[in-house]
Amino acid sequence: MRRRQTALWAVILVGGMVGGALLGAAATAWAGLPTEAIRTTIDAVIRIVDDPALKKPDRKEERRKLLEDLIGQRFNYAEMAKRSLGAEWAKRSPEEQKEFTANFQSLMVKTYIGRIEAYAGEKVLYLKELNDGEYAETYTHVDNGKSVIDINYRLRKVSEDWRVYDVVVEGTSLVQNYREQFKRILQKDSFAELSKQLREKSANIKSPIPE
Amino acid sequence: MKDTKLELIVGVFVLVGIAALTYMAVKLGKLEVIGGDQVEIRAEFDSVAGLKSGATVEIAGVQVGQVTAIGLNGERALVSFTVTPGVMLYEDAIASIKTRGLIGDKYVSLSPGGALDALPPGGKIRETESGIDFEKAISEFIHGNVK
Repeated sequence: MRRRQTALWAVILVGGMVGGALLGAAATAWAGLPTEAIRTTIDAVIRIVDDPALKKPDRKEERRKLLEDLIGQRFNYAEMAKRSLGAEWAKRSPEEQKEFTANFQSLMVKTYIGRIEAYAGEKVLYLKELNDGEYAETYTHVDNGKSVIDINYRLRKVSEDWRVYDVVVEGTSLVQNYREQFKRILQKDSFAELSKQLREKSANIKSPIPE
Repeated sequence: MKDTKLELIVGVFVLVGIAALTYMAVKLGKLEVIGGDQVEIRAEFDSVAGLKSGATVEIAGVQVGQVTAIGLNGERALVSFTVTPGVMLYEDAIASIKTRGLIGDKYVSLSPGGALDALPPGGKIRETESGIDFEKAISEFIHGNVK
C-alpha cells in the first residue's frame, strides 16, 4: 500500500515538473526576442532611476549619463532621424545626415530624459508582440495608478539586435509627429534653417534634473 | 417608313438615357468599373472604427485613392485601398486614420516617406496609426477612470 502511494507521489511530482517546464517554454516562446530586448532595457532603466545611491545630488549627472547610454543602445536615433526627415533625407550629403542625426538625438534625449528621471513606480505591462521578419512591434501599457497609457515600440533588427525606430503613444507615432513638423519647416525654409532650428530648440530645452 | 424613323429616334434616346443612368450610378456609388490602372496597397491597423469602404485616401489633403476593402487579419484590421498611378510611396510610408473635423467621416491619410526604398504595387504599409479613440477619451473624461 505504502509503495503504491510513493509511486503515485512520484507520478504527480514528475507530471508537475514536465507541466511546469512546458508552461515555462510556452511563456518564453510568447515573449519572443523583441519584447525581451525592450524588457531588458526598461528593467535596467527602472533599476537605475530607483537606485537610492544614484539619487544623491552629487551623482545625478552620472545617473543621467548612465540612462542616456542605456537608452542609446536600444533606440536607433539614426533610423528615427532618417524616417522623420522622409524624402529630404536622400537629398542630403552624408555629413549633413550625420549632423542632422546628432541634432535629432540631442532633441530626443533632452525632451524625454526628464520624464524618465521623474519615474515614480509606474508599472509596465507587456501585452503582445507582432513579428514580421526583421520588423517587430511590442505593445505595452504603462500604469501609473490613475490611468493606463498605451505605448508601442516599433523595432527593426540591426545586426542581430532589435533596435527601436519609432514609439507609438496612444495611437500616435513619434516619427509621424516629427515628420509633419519637419515637412512644414522645409516647405517654407531650407534644410540649413531646419538644422538651425533643431539645434536651437534642443539648446533651449531645459531639462533640470528632478529632485 | 416614318414610324421606323420615329422608333429609331426613341430607341436611341432610351439607350442614351440608360447610359446616362449607368454613368450616374457608377459615379454616385463610387464604383470602379475599369480599376485596372489603379495601384493597390494594403495596410494593417489596430482599429479602423468608423472607416468605411469607399472612404478617401489622401496625401496632404489631396485625394489620391479610396478604400476598397476592410477585413480582419487575426485580430487586426486589414485595409486595402487603391492609389492613383504615379503617386510614389516608400517603405517608410505612414498610413493614419483621421477624422474630418471632430465628429466627421473617417479617412486614410498617407505620409509617403522617402528615406527607404519604393513600395512595390500590392505592397503593405508597415507603419500605421489608428489615431486617438475620441469615444474612449470622452467616456473616461465623463465617467472617470476606475482608479
